[in-house]
Amino acid sequence: MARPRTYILGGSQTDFARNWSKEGKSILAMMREATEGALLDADVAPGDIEVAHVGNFAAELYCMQGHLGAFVLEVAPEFAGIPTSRHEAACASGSIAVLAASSEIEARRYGMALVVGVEQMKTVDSTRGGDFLGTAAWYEREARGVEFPFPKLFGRLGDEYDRRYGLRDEHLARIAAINYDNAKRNPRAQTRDWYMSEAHACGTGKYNGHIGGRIRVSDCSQVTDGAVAVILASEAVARAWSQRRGIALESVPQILGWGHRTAPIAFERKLRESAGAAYVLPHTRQAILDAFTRAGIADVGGVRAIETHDCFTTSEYMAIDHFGLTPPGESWRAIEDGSIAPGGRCPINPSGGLIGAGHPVGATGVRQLLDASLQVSNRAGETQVPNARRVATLNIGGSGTTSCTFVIGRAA
Amino acid sequence: MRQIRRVAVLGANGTMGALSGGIFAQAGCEVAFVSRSREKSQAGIERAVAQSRSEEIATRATAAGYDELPAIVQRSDWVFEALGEDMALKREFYAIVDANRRDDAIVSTVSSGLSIAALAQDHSAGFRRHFLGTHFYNPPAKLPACELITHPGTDPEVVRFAHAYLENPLRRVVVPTRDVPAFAGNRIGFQFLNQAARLTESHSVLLVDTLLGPYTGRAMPPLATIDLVGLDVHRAIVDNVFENAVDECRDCFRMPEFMQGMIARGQLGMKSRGAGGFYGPKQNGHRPVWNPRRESHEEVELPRFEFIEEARRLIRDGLYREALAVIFAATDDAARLVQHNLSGYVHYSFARIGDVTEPEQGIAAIDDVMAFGFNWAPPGAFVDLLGGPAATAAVLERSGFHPPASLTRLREGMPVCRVRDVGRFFVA
Repeated sequence: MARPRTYILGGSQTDFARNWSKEGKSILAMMREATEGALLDADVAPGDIEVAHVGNFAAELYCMQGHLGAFVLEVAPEFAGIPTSRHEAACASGSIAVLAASSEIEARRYGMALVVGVEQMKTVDSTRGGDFLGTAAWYEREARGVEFPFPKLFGRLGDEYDRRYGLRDEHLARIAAINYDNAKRNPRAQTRDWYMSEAHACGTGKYNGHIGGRIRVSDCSQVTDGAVAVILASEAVARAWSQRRGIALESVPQILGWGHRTAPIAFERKLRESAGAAYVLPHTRQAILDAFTRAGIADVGGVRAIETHDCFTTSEYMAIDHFGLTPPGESWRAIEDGSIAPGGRCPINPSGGLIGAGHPVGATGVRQLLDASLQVSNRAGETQVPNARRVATLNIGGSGTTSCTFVIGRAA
Repeated sequence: MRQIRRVAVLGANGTMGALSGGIFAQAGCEVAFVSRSREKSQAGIERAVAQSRSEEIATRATAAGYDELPAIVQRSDWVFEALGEDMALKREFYAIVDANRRDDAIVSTVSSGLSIAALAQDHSAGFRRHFLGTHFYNPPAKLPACELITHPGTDPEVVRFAHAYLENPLRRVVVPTRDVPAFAGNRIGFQFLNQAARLTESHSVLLVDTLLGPYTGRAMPPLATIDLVGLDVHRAIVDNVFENAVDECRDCFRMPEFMQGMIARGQLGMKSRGAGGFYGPKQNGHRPVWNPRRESHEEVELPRFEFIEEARRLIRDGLYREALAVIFAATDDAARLVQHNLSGYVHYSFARIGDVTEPEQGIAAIDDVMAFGFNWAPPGAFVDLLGGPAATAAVLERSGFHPPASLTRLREGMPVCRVRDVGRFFVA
């Protein structure tokens, strides 16, 4: 019997440049705009949604509000009574919500699911926000009393690469510059109108100081308000939907494969366990391989582009070799030869990624899935990668702790 | 193929010169910041650096005084003039530019309302072919609108090139407008602002700003906006329209008499730190407001209205249609004043199609300039949120406005506004 499939009928993201606190708006307003946009994009009536999953990291801290699943019902009266839940795995929360929804679809419990990823982060100043983000690490051991713990943790990831293989900061600057440049073509990217250049990212002046070890301002993703919603469907529902629209089911994007692994939460233990291994974060590597295997592709050559988790330039540097674009420790080659840039062998983050498009923590995994599905259905506008039949995503929670990957593609 | 490598900015010590020069430098151009002295120009570069948050753009910027202007113009591909709003002063500098510019160099002015045709008059044929208005909004890093204004002699190729270049790499939302007083954005924006100012002849400053505040689709209340712009600048804009434009709302541009007195006393708004404007300097955490009858700043209690509170609650949760429905369903005098002014904004905007913008653009150009130049909910968004053209026409009629044909002939069932995410303009 054929494996049950999950199809992506459409979706929508809010403009990540918006500051919803300045607008005086609640987290519900973000969820509403993203959800209404997704229903419109997928041309689906709210009454057709059978279940909803919300990905969110820390609304209890940022907004003093939990139980976000229940807020889906506030968006449309037709949602009354549907089962909802909220999922949390730090920055991978959005992907976990997608996994939960697709599991239920593949288990044939429901035919159509709404997934909303959401985070409102500009409710607090950057120091307090940095402290909240520290709860994605082992707070008591790694973050308590530490100003901006995550730049420091991902700075150490760079240091570990440097120790094992050598790492040049110019390569990290190039990663930043590519992501900012890609974001200029994304009309919903947070930094689309910001100034950035490789020369600026290489510098360390007043506007690009170090904020955690080797991590400079230009190496960081943003503090972002944003929500993203996608509509997922079973094969039977997607077939009826595609027939109604007069398109072939084979052209509808689907989840071809997924991977989901968890590493020890403490960063030091991760490094200790991978000492002497080829990959710095073996669980992340395994999650990628799991997705490739499930998608029936041999290696990264089977995907045309990647939407990866560049919370910092060092995490994208890690993703390059962990995806297999280069042998371990040689990510710099794919940066130097243009492989990851637009027009390259395997462009990374045509959306601008977390650095360029923005990183509303709990929404990022859903945003990656949406952008991948737009790419494979040739609807990605100015960010479109030509002939993108399959696109991979990598969404990471904590310091490389929870790794979720998807291979999104179409059958034809 | 025309390329823009070197740009000269005149008046680079002023806000618009410095920040516009920064926009060119961010796009990779080498920019000569020119003003009365090299020191003032250097200060302009520093403002441009702060705008881009990168010292790197300073590597493409040079500071110069006007004594170096002829040599700088000779090597410039685009001369961007950002001098004060003084026709004679601008034309005096244009003579130097005309005598030194390369044959193919573009010359543009950032003027917010002087006649482009009058500015171009009597200069050489080459200058006239390459001259146009490029009105950036302040601050250009946050407000990307750029009105593009031509005169009958502007070469269409220059217009096409400038339009494309302003969009990319300068990342402007380009709004072609007619060469009319205050162009499109300031004509419509200051009609609304001056109406708000006129209301203070019979209502308190705080009441007017509360009634026409952020929940009505703008980041900042109107009288606070006039304080930010400066009462003197406000006067220059509305006087220009009052004297040189003819439309059904000419009296809307007559500035209240008491504001002349404020200007005479040096109460120009935020830039007059000690004297203030509609709002006085902060005292004990409170901001006193101007009482035109007593000619003093005084503390007044913040008025509260149930319909505003309800509208704000709805906006907070993203229910923008419902919020407007509450505003337009309320029946007390305060609500009627809000309805009248919002209807007036929609009416005046639609009535200006074909006057300040070309008719074939419909409301789109005006929507763009109000959204991206003023950060206000564009008039087309009100039509969509109020339920379409017929429903909006009914709302206008209830407020005493005759709906313009440009509104009533729109097709029902089709979205009117092209600007995305209009909910962002309604601030709870």
